[in-house]
Amino acid sequence: MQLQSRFERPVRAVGYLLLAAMVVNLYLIFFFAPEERSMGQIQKIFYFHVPCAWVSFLAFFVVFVYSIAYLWKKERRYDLIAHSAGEIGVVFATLVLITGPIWARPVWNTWWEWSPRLTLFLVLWFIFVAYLMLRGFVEDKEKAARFSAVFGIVGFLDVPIVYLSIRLWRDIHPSPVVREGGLAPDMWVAFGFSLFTFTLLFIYLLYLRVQLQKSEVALSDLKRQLVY
Amino acid sequence: MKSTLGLVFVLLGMFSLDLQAQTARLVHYQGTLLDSDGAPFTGTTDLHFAIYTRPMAQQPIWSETHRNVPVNEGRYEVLLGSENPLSLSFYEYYLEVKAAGTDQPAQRVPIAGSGFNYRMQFLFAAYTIVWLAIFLYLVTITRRQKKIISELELLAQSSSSQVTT
Repeated sequence: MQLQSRFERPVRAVGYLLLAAMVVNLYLIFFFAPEERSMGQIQKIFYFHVPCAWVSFLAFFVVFVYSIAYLWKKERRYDLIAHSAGEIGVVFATLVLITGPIWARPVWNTWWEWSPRLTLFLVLWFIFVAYLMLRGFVEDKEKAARFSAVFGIVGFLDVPIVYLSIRLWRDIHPSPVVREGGLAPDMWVAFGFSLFTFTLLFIYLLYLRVQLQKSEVALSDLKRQLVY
Repeated sequence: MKSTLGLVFVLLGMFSLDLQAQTARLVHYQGTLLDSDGAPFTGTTDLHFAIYTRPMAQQPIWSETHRNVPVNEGRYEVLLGSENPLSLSFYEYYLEVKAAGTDQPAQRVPIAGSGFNYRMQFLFAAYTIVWLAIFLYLVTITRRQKKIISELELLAQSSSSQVTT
């Protein structure tokens, strides 16, 4: 548990910062950010739909990096981080799949469209749900970690395809306003701060989830010791 | 720390519900006013507005009076909620309009949520789902961690007692 004591203080600081950021973020989204001309208030879903997508991509990137690290170094802690990030990624990807249709219903007049972006994101969600399920199916922990690492690396390849899909194919999904300067300056402030808050939330959740993984490993090790 | 964070999540959820309850703060209303002969009225008059939950309800849930409202060829417009704040979650209500100096019972007209309110419900639904899901995930992690720690302590105690015997 050396890692826990080393990072306990900075993570606590991140936690307090997160509390403040969440309140400020709420104010910025609902009171500071101006109303979008054509969509009205519903456009404000953007301020947590896009950060949720960003966190899921970031989490799957962490899975990718730590899966490579695990296959290379064969150290258990890399697999724990990859597994934790995968779970958080699935949680946030689920939120993307929920908030997206909630936005689409009043704007597109439909909950879902089988467009390339939406379909590929759904495929990404299925890939990482399968990634989490795979660990439960394989009994040998080392084998499960190895299979999952390979699966996580291959699964991540869908992320750039999802991101580029609206450029590669005709799509009903809105084009990337962030890069093309489609946001008003006040919208930028709210959006930037929302990204910051959700990134902090990801760091905080990842730390807690990794600590939980370590405790689970410690418990199973202790149980094994007592049996023998 | 975790409990404080949990409290903030609950407060954020409550805040969203509170915001939803206060969605319609100002409602733009246009009406027609006729004089006793049935001709369009021109001039200024006081108008009393009241909102009821049912067509025959006795007690209004909200009311306000607009003084010296300009009426041009029977047409007038007001912003309901500008005198007395409106905090209604719009579904279906009945609006009663009464001009000053009229003895006739006022007619009630049904009013429903506008596109704005309809869209706001989607926004609040999405917002509440996001924070509720994150809060529940955080609670799940914390509870599992606590359970494992207590199990670890129990096992450590039992193993030390085995050693002493």
